[in-house]
Parts: sequence; structure tokens; C-alpha cells
Amino acid sequence: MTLTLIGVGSVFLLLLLLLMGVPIAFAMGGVGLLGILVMEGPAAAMAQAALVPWAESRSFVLVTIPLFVLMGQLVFHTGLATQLYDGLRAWIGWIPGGMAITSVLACGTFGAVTGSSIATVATMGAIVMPEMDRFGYDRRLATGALAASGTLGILIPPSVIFIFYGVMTETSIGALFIAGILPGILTATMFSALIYFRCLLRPHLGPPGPVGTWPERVDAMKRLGPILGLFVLVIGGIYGGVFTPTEAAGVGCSGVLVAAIPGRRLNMAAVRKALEDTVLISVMLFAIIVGGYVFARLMAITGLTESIVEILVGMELGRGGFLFLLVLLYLVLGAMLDVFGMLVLSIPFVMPVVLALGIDPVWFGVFVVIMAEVALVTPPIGANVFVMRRIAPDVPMEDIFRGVAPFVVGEFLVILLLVLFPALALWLPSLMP
Amino acid sequence: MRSPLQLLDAGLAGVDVWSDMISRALFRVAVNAALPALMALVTLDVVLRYVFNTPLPWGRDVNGLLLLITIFSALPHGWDQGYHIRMEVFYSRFQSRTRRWADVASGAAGILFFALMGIQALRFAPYMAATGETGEDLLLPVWPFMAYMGFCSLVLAARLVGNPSGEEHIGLGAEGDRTDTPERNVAPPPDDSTTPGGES
Repeated sequence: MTLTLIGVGSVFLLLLLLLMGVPIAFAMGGVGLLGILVMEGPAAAMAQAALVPWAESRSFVLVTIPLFVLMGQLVFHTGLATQLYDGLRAWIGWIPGGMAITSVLACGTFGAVTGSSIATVATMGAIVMPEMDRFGYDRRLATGALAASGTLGILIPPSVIFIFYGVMTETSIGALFIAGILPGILTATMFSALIYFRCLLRPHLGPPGPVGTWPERVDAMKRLGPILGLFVLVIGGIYGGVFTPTEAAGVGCSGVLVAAIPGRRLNMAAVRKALEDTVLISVMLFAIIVGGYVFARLMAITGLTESIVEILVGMELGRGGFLFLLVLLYLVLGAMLDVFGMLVLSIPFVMPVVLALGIDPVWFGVFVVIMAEVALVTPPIGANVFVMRRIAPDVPMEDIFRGVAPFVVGEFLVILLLVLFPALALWLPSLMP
Repeated sequence: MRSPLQLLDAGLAGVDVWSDMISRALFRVAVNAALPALMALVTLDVVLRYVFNTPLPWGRDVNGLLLLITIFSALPHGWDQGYHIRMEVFYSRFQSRTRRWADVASGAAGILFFALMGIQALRFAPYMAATGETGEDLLLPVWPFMAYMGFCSLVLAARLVGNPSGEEHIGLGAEGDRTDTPERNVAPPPDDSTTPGGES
């Protein structure tokens, strides 16, 4: 009883610190050590303080994080995104809403090699928004499509969020990457269909662009080559069992550098900037991973997690009821925290229940990432919407949120399909060697 | 004759200046050496395995140590650059006095976490040296890396004293930039002239 009380007290103290704005890593690490200090004495607390980071910071799996972040940062600086957009536009720019559909597909493909939704919106938004303005696209549709499509960056592999989830839950990162492919394609198809039918019914929303000639289209295919090549190299390598995710990340980084050589797309300043940003982003993620582990040790000692699992399983909500609760939970968490915060705070408590209910952790990873996508475009945080606003400062924030709304409905439809047909996420991983 | 408060102020200013200088030097180690070496080594290991069928037996150990150096070298400067995730919904609306209390709580939690980490790592290092602990495949003593981890953690604790709010720290020629978005898995904004967006 005392143990559980200390556990509950620690959770309340953690929530208080988080509400005060204490960085998540500090709050989890500090409260975790304090709790261990109270329960097991200073020697145990001191030992955990050094042993947890020592073990985690040398993990071969975690090498994946800085390398995939670096790959994304390098791609971001190469100018490959412009080629990608031009290549896709030559094929589909002429249909109703074609520019917006092109942006969805370009975001999906660009996201596939950057793994970051914000980088995807920032890059593609700056390229596509002036084009859509030129063709008289409805600004609500244009900004909404771009902000929502940027979220594909975290679902289509490689994805930093999948790595983060995989590390936290000890789920195969390779399987998670592969599991994200079909739901990612489904989401991109859903977004494209939404745009197409809306523009078909109300042509002024997204007038067709010029029809590309066949020579232009053939040339466009060549432009798509570098990005598609990188995707095939990285994901094909993981899927085929040639590379571990860590090796694939290293090879991917080198691949970007090689792809950038022909057009002299990278200079030293850009490489240096990519390295700096990568290091800073990685540090931020590692800090919360280490803090999260320390807090998880405290929870394990108190046995609070087991108590929560017993209560939730005892409620007999069933799989559907539990997932519905989680949708609500992640909507609330997403309104207060960023994606990584959402995960680090919820996964230690939610994951044991997920396993107790027999939900596949790979499937659940896809579910969580789609919920993270929703959080990225819904108020009050809606990180993608904020980035979009910086790109289109004359479009009111409210209009962007309204423009995003149909795509959020699309995301929920994808979640529904995923619940009804779990094979959407699990079929491809089941074929892995 | 200076008062105790003035002496304390001078001491804190000294901690700020010195720890800032050290944290920038450590950051350069991460950016210029550790991360590029990590990338090169992972790629080299793959090439050696698939092309020459001779993978590096010590590759994983060295990768792990390079990751540790990358992360801990950049940890103090990451704080100064504002790369930390916090719930900003209320924090950004706090009045300056309330925010100061929140910063005190942040500093206390961070110092508790990282100072304990640093002290204990520095206590573990001599023990590891005495027992001759090495990597699994790499027969290299690992105690210097434990000591390095401890040193960097203490530098971060000092930075928390020098810059308790974690706002971007401007001083001694601040480098790098920080995007001002709620999610920090970000690349630079598109107005950066090196980005494709900037060119279009």
C-alpha cells in the first residue's frame, strides 16, 4: 500500500512539474531519482543515476536516432524536394486539385526520407504554396492539405517517432517501419481522394494545372530517381533483411551525400548546419529517453504500473473500448504536449495494458503514430499548423485549422480501418525474413 | 569590501562564463568529430561486411562509445539552445514572477538529475579502472568514457545554474539557431537560404 502511495504521489508530483513547464526529461529524471532515494536510499538512487544513461547512451539500437535524423537533415538541405515536386506535378498536376494532390504525394515521399513532419511541411510548403497561389487555389484547402500531408513524414518510414516508440517498448524498429508503409499509403490515398472529390464538386477550390507533355513526364521520372533510390535502399534493405535499421541509417546518410554530389547540392555550411541540428535534436530525444527510463524504474519498484493494468483489465472494456479511451487520452495529451512528450508520458502505463489485452505492439505503434499525426494538426499545439502559418503568414490560423479539419476526419477513418483490419499494418511485417 | 551577495553574484557569473565556454567546446567535439565518425564507421562496417566479408569485430562497441560522446558532449549546449521539450501551454502564459518559480523548479529537477549523474559517474570511473573493465569486443578500458559522461553532466548542471530558464543563451558569440515551434524534431525554417524553400 505504501509503495503504491509513493507511486501515486510521484505521478502527481511529475504532473505538477510538467504543468509548471519543467522540461520533461528533468521532471521524469528528477522525480524518478527522488522516489528511488526515498524508497531504496541514496546509494541506489546514485547508482541508477549513472547506470541508466551509461547503458542507454551506448545502445547500438539508439545509434539509429542520430543517423536517421542526420539523413533527414541532409536531404532537407540538398534541394531534392524541388525535384520531387516537379517530377510528380508533371504526372498529376492537370487533374482537379492536382497541385494539392501533388503536394500530398510529395510530402509522403519526402517524409519517407526525412522522417520529420515539421521538416516536410517547412520544405514542401515553401515550394508548393506559391504554385497553388499562382493557380488560384483556395487558401484554406491549400494550407490545410500541406499541414496535414506533412504528418505523413512520421508514418511513412523511416520515422523518428517509430524509432522512439520502438526503443521505449522494445519493439522491432524494422517491423515498425515496414508496418507503417501500407497505412501511410492509405492515408496519402485518403487525403488525395478528399482533395480530388472536393475539387471535382467545387472546381474553384483547386483548378487543374497544365497538362505535362510526355517528354516532360519521362524527364520527371528521372528527377524522382534520387529520392526513390534512397527509399528503396533504406527500406528495401531493412525489409530484405540486408541491413539492421542502424546500418540502414548509416548507409542512408552516405547515400544522401553521394546523391548530392552530381548537382553539387551540398556545401560545407549546409553539412555543418545539418550536423549541428542533428546533434541538438538527438540530445533532446536522448534526455527524455533517459529521464523516462529512470522514472520507469521507480514505477517498477512501486508496482503502480501493475495496479493500473489490473484496474483497466478488470474494467473489461475490451479492445475496442480501450482503444476508444486511448483516442480520447491522446487527444487530450496532444493538446498539451508535443509528440515525444505524449509518448514518454503515456507508454509506460499504456503498454502493459496493451500487451495484457493481446494487442500487437507493432500494430499499436502504428495506431500511436497516427494519433500523433492528429495531434500535429489539431489545436492548441498543432505544430504543423504553426509552421504552415509561418510559410503563409497572410492566412489566419483559424483558416488553416479549418482547412485541416477534413483531413483529420480522414485520419480517423484510417484509424477505424486499422482497427477493423489490423492486417493493414501487420501483413507486410509478417512477410519479413 | 564586497558583500556576500556580491561575491555570490560574481561566483555565479564565473560559473556561467566558464561553463558556457566549456559547453561550446564540447559541442564542437560532437559536431565536428563524434557524429561524423559515427556515420562513417556504421557505413564502413556495412561495406566491409557485404563487400569484403570482414566486418569490424569491435564496430558495435566503438559505435556505442561514439554515440555516448556525441550525446553527452552536446547535452550542455543543447540546454542553452533551447532544445528541450516542455509543456508550454501554461508556461508561456505565466507572469514573470510565476515563470521564475517554474524556472527554479526546472533548475532544481535538472540539477538533481544531472549533478547526481555526474558525481556518481565520476565515482564509478576509478572503480572501473581498478577492475579493468573493457568493452565486449573492444579491449579498451571504458573508464575514461564513464568519466567523460560524468564531466559533461556536471557541465550541464553548471549551465543550469548559469542559465536556469533554458532560453536561447546569447553570449560569447552564440552559434546555431533554434526553431520556435512546439515540436522540436525540426529542420531550419524555410527562410534559410540554404534550403530548397529559400531558393524557390
